[in-house]
Amino acid sequence: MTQVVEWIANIVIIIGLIFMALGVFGIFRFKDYFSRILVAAKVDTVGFITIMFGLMIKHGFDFFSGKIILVLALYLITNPIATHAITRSAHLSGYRIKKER
Amino acid sequence: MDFDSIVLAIIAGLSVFGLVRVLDGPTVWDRMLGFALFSSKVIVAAVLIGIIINRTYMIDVAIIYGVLGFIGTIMIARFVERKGDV
Amino acid sequence: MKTYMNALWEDIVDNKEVIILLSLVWLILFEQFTIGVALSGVLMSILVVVFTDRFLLKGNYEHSYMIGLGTLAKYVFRLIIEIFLAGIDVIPNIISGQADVQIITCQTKLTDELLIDILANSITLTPGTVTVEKKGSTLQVLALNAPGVDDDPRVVIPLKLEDILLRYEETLDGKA
Repeated sequence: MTQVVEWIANIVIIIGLIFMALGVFGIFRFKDYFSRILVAAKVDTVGFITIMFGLMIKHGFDFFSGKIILVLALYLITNPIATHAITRSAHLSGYRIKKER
Repeated sequence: MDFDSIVLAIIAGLSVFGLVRVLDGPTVWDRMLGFALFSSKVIVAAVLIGIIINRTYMIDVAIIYGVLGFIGTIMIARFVERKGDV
Repeated sequence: MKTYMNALWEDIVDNKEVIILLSLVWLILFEQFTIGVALSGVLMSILVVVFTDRFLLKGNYEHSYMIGLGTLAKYVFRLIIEIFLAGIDVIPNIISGQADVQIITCQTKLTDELLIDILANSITLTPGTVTVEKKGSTLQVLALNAPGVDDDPRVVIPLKLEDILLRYEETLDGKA
């Protein structure tokens, strides 16, 4: 039974690694800054959440998993604010793409 | 070499690419994006090291690094947005 | 003295959800579950909440900063599902390298400031959309795969999440 749980956790972690690798691949794929921040940083978030879930499944229900939940909650609160600050800074400093509507 | 160590090695390899984006980003916002990417990789790496050496204090390191990276990103963004006047 | 104690007790009862959350964080950070740690945790959380209520905020803590434990759990669960679905949607764009990036102005139905902030942060957290600016209940959203000119601009908002917040806002209006 523990063997099965460990294999499930490993598969979840591998899925998260694939998402993270796609995010890193994305910041070299696009030429425009706005498309870069849309694709790259956000797919990276999916990878982060998936890897944390995999580690929690692997470790079982104890204080270690609780601390991982704390890290995850902190990341979920702070990451959108940081991304929003960067994008707003670029927008206010006059970086434009196409026509707005 | 077990599974966790391999995952840690892959994460370390990916974080190098984030630093490459910091070094040759065409605009300053690309550099900030690379820094945000790098700091998320460091958080994952710290938690993984905690699992490998089987100590819980590494997660505190991860929390502190998350807070510091957040404050750094926000301050640099404000600095650029207001053209030097924080 | 009697009325002061009564006011203190009302504060504690009003903010019991915040106190429960703070005590859980205290227990997790201590990594052990004994009577002493639990009692000191509850005591510290009550001190923090009462101090914030009395000296740092105008008005009640509960009414300005808490959306309810049940709503919070449901919202986080739904949010993680939405993040995964949107993440899978974005993958073809990364592989083909094509993007149609546009800034779209759209309206939400919410009116409460805190709830609009939560919705804006959720929009930023889902892959494919980033909030650029917020003014009142008008949001400017930077979207990959932007909808066409004649389409409804509201498709960039995750509508299921907005539904949960709307349902909470109705109960809030009755109470406050």
